[in-house]
Amino acid sequence: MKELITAEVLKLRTTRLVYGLLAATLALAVAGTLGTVAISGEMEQTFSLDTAEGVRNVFSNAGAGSIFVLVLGILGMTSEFRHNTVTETFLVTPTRGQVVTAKLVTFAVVGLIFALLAAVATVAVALPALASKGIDVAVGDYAGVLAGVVAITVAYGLLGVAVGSLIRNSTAAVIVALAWTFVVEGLLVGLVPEIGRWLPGGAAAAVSGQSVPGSELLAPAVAVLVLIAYVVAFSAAGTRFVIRRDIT
Amino acid sequence: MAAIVVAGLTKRFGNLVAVDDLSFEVEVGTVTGCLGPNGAGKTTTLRMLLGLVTPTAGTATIAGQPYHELTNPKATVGAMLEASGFHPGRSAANSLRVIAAAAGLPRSRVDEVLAEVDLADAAGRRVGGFSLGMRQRLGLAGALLGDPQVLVLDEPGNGLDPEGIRWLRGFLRRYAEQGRTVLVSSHALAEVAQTVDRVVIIARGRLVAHSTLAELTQRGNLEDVFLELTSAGREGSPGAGPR
Repeated sequence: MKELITAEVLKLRTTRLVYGLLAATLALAVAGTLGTVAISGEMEQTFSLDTAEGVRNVFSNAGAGSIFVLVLGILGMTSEFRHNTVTETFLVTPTRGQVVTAKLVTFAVVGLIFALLAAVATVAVALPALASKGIDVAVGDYAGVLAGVVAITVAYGLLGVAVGSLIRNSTAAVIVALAWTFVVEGLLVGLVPEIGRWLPGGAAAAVSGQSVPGSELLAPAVAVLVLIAYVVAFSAAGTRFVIRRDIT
Repeated sequence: MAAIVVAGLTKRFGNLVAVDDLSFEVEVGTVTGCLGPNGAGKTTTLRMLLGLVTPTAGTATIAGQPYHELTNPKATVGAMLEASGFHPGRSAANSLRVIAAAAGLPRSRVDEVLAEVDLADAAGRRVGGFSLGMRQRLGLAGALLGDPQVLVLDEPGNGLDPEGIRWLRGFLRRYAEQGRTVLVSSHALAEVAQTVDRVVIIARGRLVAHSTLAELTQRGNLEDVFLELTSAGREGSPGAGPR
């Protein structure tokens, strides 16, 4: 397993995608943080920055990498099919389940690294931005929010690998995942919260400590369990699918 | 002694029988050619042998074991398949390093095999800019990484220039002379006639000939015998079927 994880890390490091998406993650975390500080309490459906919810929403921008890590996880699996490197991968390791496991571990770690870097960037920008509005916060009070976004970014890396295992066409897998995240979940979490809060995106929002006035998300502890259940179910299904299919 | 044993191998894709009760053996120390028209089932047979496609029935073993039970597959079998590929954005050396890492092989093997296929000068270049012939050499380098006892090559001559073809022929002959085994699929009959000791001919998924090259060509030149064997009993459209 150590060899397989080394190989997966090498696959990532020897192509450019991961660096581009890391840059995008940091840019989005910084821009999102500044944007949240600017509009909080000014626009409808936002909390004022002198409330705990308002500050939590600022720090939840540290989760900016989750969507990029989802895409990276998907492509980590589908690009093997796209470029036909999957043949060699499974020749080296005919026990295909181990390959999927190595990818799950690798992209969980990628999620962890992206989230930690995004958290550092978010905090570094948030503190002076909040101070400029006369709001002084102790980061330690919001450690739960930061831990939550790190957890969901890790979960999205795992979900990416699982989705890529189930839909092996790169373009289709990325489109399905993004349409689901932004359109389906976006609508359901906002408009039909009794369903939306049970979806991966709704659970992730609850874990990251985000709040929208008037919207009911799951309790964070329940949301963590829901997210774990999705990760386990999708990973198991994806692994089973990869093991059974013919590589032609 | 047989390095490869295929017994009763069958693969159906829906209603289509791609490989039909195929049995043959590949002797240690030989270069065996696997010949057949397009769609005859050669590639599907090789993919079943290598554990990439699950047979509907029958077995295929290398060194006495099914591929997925080999403890160190890269050291036992080196394979280069037609549809296997490389990431265009990755350099030649990094492409092989990924394989070596997964197989637990030392990085020094990467430089050795690149030199062996005459790609040392292109080691740092991205594969996306490679010619077909260079890709074939890189594929062969990947097959050689584990210093295997058995080589399985699907159309290895594709894209090689005449010098490359001659080099490949010499390479495969030397490989067999070291007591190792080569199974090579090809359409290039004239080339095969100069390279292989034994032939397995497949048509419409079934075995139509399995003998030494010398025995087969007693009946005429390889092309005539091949066309006679593979067209016998042909029904429907020629060349129909999956790759």
